[in-house]
Amino acid sequence: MSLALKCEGLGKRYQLGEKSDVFTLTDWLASKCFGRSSSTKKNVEDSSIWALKDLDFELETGRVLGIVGRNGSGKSTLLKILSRITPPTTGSFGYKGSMASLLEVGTGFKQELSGIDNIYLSGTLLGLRRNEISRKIDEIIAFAEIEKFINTPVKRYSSGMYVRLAFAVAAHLEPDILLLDEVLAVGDQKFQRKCLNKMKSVAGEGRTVLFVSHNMQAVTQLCDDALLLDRGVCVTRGKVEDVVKAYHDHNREQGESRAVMEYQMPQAHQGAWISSISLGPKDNPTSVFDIMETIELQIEMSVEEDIEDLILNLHVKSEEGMGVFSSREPDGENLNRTGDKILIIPTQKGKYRLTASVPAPLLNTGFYELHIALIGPHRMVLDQRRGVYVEIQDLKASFSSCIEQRRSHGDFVPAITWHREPK
Amino acid sequence: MKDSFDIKVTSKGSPFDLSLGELWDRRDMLVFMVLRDFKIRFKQSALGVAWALLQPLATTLVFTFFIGGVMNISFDGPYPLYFLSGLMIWNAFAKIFGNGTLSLVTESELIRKVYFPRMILPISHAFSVLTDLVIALLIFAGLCVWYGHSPGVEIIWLLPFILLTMIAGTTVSLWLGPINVRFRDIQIVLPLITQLLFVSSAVMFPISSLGSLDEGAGFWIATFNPMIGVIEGFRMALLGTGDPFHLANLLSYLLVFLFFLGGVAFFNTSQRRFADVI
Repeated sequence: MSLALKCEGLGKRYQLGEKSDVFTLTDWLASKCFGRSSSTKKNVEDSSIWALKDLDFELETGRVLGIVGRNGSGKSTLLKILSRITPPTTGSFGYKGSMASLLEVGTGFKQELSGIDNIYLSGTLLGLRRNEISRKIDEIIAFAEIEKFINTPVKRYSSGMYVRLAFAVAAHLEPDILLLDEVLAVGDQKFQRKCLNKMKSVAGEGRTVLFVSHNMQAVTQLCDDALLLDRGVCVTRGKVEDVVKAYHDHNREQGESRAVMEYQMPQAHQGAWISSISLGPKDNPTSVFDIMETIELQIEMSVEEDIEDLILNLHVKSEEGMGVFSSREPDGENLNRTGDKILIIPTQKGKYRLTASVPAPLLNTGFYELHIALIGPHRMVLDQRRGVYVEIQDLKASFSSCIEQRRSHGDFVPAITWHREPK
Repeated sequence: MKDSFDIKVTSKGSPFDLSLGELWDRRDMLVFMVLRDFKIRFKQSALGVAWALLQPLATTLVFTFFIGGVMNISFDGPYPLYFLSGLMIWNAFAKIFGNGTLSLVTESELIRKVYFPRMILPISHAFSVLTDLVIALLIFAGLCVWYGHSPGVEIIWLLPFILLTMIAGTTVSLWLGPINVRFRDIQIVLPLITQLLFVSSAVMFPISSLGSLDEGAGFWIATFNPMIGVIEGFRMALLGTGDPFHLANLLSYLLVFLFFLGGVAFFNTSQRRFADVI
């Protein structure tokens, strides 16, 4: 089988903070024109980070390769390099045929233009020819389900219509190699499924595909092989089942024995930040809970200035990266602050510890990732922490029938009250 | 088996790897960028496309009555024709390099999210401006009928001078655009650059007011400002008066081509890092 894509020693270094390798305009011109740079090599190394390092891989024609890894593992950087948006710092890659990348939907859309104008604009931007678009135009419009509004400016569209149209254009690209980002699945649940199905059918047409995702279910369904990245380095490459397992093991290793997490003050904090998160009882921290045990969570936060409308958001995700549930404090009921309920979230400057208890039984056995975010006025995210892992085990075999079968039994094991009365 | 790849990307780019084939391959994108600019311009305005006519017409009238009355111009035809002939091509030039230079930053979203030959952005502005030019020429034709003036065979010179203007304007954006990506100082001084060029281009007054083009300051200004020759060329083509072929003018046309080639190479080396720097 012939190779469609080959990467050798691919690496990407980013400068941290202000671009310190360039001082002045003349300096920059000198480095541009004569390849000289007045700053020393060491200087650059110190203030930079390798988003991707020494990546070698090959992809045969017609294969679907999944790229998995946590946030910041270099997945997006890899896609950006391969799609030629940004050049590699080291190494090289080559590919055969045409390549198109779908990293985001709706790029190049103009609010003032009609749906049909935007299809052509965005389509040619992504690399389609005008006659190719004309040939597929009915298909695109039908896929987006916007037949009636095709001559309306897209600024009058609902947000659902907008993303549907944007995805529809992107989904009708037909390159030899396709770079896909899973965040592309957009819109409501029904349309998301349609997006994933479309991706599946595109991948099934014998095209060479690179698929980047957090969603292990989608990766398992779509891909033949997978590659696991961690902090810019390839950890493992192989059959998709093995890599997905390695991904889980990897996350587990990182999450285990980390029942207490301390954080530094963010460099650019926005008025409030999370200083530590600990799991389990205060005197006995643990990240492993029995299925019948209340999950305790302590969040220490620091409020740097009096702040109105602070919200703490707790989002729980399953192993597969799917949202399980969310909770916010304050919730809708005490947002108006007129009731008798005491406001838990602080509004005044100071350091606080907030304690939360997630009732049991609720979560089924397995691993869950917690996302904790502080949200300020205008829904601005002030600080957020990911990578807090909780493992639920059925230590006392209270739910023996459900063990190891969470996928088929669902994420929840709530205590349901039944009644019987003679009729 | 040795694999041969169609596209090979390495950490080091070459300024001479122009990939002109790729640029030609993506011509449809250029077409729709130009169409987009035209369609968006007068959206949600009551008069719509009529503005494209009214704008230059109004400017011409203003200049005719307020400046034409004050200044003494050695042109025996009607003033509006004289003004419009110079003004339309100057406006085209100013728009090409102004919008072209800013285009990279205005479209930074695109640069960060999609790959395409970046040169399409400044080049598209060279074509966007043609719609204005056609409209200005229509107004000019109307004024010609009104004043009973009919251009001679020199009108065939219009096309080469329009082409020259497109290349000259794009040249400026090929140099200033990439610098502006890194140093936004460019867009701050851009209005000043435009004004200086405007004053030195003798747009609203006869070329003779710069002094002789064959010696001294006049020679040097005309050598480094191709628009002096272009504006004279337009007046020659439309009105049959003016001489765009002084030695200084010819030198300036040559310089445009040299700087254009240099600009292409400069843009080409800078463009790879746009997404990281912008």
